[in-house]
Amino acid sequence: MQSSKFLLVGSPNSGKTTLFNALTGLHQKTANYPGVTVEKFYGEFHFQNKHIQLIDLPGIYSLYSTAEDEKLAIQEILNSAYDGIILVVNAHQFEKNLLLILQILELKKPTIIVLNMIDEAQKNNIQFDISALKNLLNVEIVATNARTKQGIQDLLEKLSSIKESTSSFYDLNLLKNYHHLIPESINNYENWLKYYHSESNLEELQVIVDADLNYKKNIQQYILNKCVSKSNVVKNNFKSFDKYLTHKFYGFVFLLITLLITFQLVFFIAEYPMEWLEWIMNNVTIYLKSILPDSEWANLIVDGILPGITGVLIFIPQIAVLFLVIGILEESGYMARISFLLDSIFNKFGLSGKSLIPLVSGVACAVPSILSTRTITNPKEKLITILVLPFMSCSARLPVYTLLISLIFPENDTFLFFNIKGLVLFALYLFGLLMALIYAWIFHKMIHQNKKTFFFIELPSYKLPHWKNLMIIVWNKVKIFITDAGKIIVAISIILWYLSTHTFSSIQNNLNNKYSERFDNDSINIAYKRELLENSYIGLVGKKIEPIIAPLGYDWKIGISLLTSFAAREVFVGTMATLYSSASEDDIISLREKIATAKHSDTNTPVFTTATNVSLLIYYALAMQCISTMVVVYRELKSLKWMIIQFLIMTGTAYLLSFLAYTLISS
Amino acid sequence: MISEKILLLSHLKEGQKVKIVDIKDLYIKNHLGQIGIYPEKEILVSKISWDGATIAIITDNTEIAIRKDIANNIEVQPV
Repeated sequence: MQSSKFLLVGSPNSGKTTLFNALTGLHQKTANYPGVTVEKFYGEFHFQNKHIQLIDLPGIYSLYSTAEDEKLAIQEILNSAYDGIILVVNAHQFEKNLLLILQILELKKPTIIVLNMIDEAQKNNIQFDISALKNLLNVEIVATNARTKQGIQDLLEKLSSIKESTSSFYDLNLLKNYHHLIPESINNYENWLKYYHSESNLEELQVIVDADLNYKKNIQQYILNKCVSKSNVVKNNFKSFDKYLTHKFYGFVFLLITLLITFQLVFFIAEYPMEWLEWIMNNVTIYLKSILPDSEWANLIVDGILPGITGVLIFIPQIAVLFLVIGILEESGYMARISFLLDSIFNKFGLSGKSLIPLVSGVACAVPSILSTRTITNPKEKLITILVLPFMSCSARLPVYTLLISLIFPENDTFLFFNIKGLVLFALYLFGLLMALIYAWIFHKMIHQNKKTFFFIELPSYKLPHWKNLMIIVWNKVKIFITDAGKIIVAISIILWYLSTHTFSSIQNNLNNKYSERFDNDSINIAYKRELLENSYIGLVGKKIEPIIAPLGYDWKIGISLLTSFAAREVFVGTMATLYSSASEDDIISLREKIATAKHSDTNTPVFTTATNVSLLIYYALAMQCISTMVVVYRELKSLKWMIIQFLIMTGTAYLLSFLAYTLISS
Repeated sequence: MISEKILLLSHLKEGQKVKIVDIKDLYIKNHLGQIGIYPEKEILVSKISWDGATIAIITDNTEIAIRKDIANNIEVQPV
């Protein structure tokens, strides 16, 4: 079977990823703001007995771009082997895309141009003379609407006849005129671009870039005059409500209300499916207990695996609701407006409006968010964004937060019509943002940079969110939570079960002797379980670290949870579930009840007091409890120093503030 | 020397429609050129942030926000 490889190239927000999904049937995340794709993604499909591999590259404005994500795409275009380029152009913003079109065609690679979002262009009275455009550019052009799959079949059929343009779109004397600045061996446009991107000092090459852009500007104008007609040169198509959404005062009021509603929904809507899932898992536990024989395997399933699975499942509704709302904000184009609103504030803290998308994405997971900082062109702003990004409360913290908030506020109380739990959750997210801004400001004052940078944000036009894209966003987030975090949670639950129910043979023998022949008595059985847990492998480790965490109000079981959740924060809940299942008087009560009623074995006082819960909330909001994030920070910054500084600052601040909170509340 | 009719983009108010006359810094000029903002282009100032530090402009159906330090380099003329 014949096989071909194509690069999917286009400017940011041209609908490239939507086209990629339409062609491959895959479910890459899309959004209505630039910079969604910061890495290359592979997909494949078959058409007319041909195997086609497609590579979705980060969006680029031009082949001179120097942003890190754009450079990744440019390197792929200039240096990799492929059979052709599918150049996706936003028809609504055709004029802006013309420079990239001319540059790509000048590379003399087989290319097909996709005029995407053609419906939006038509709505705005932009008309194309496609046959004239084809003749001028000398390549195939297909008009599409990737959202509705209009034109996709046409594109597939034309892929087989893809060819390179024979027209020339750059001044052949351009390079000759500047051979005092560049080596004489550079004799074509492709080599010039390769040279440009290999140089570290681009300042003196700007004069060549300027000459090239000026030359192309005239060609662009000629093409526009011949092939495109539009009703108005400058036209404000943006809805009247945009005025309010980005207003100097009402814009912030609307933003605050949006955030408030988001966190209310997380508790209000997600509460019901969470309760159903918890009820189902409790009944599964009861059923399995009744049918399984009393054996080590049965204990492993009931006390090890099931609590771990429950710890994963019950938080899915909240994660789904949170990302549904974030998806709506992204898809509608409002997220980019939030960047505009916050840019000047962020800038005072050493961040930029472009930091907003990584920071908001950090609410999902810090790992992909750190990768999305590649859109930030200013190295200092990028470094500061990465350093403070893990302060944003990620979805892994959500299970910990909801559990602890429910312990502090067991009833569904309201304050000014708002659910208190939702308000506290909102406050925790704001707390994370506040700490991020405080440390950003400190880093801003400490780090100095002389490099010249260029900042801009594109504000895409508003769109009604597409339900299918929203479902893809929600499904991807839930899937990541189940597969990535879920696997770790269940694996750690099993290991913990073993470590919390087994001990050294000498200790085990002593326990067996102490409790022998008295297992028929329920209360003695529970006392045995409790003593076994305290003397288990994990119990012995927990007691060793207890002096370090005791000032924060934590006992050894919480200490174990802190250690295990270093793999992933949400493991905290699974660990608690496993540890408290191991010695619970009633195995079928919910996790929240088990933890709420837990008592210190020596003093018989509650473990989870308000002071302890607040201290834990602060600790989990601030501590660097995620090995994956640390690895990605190291990979992205290529610096062990910054990774260690970040860990020490986050965990040190968490320890200090948790200690202060515990001391103040308990005194 | 800037003539009477020539203004800096950073000094404009929301809703003003202008034509770009020149972009002073070559580095900034080339970056703006890559996103379709260059001399002779007509632009509309669509938004100015609460403290004037970020300015959004519309050109070719594209709305782009830039910072004041960049706008300080863009000379414009009312149309």
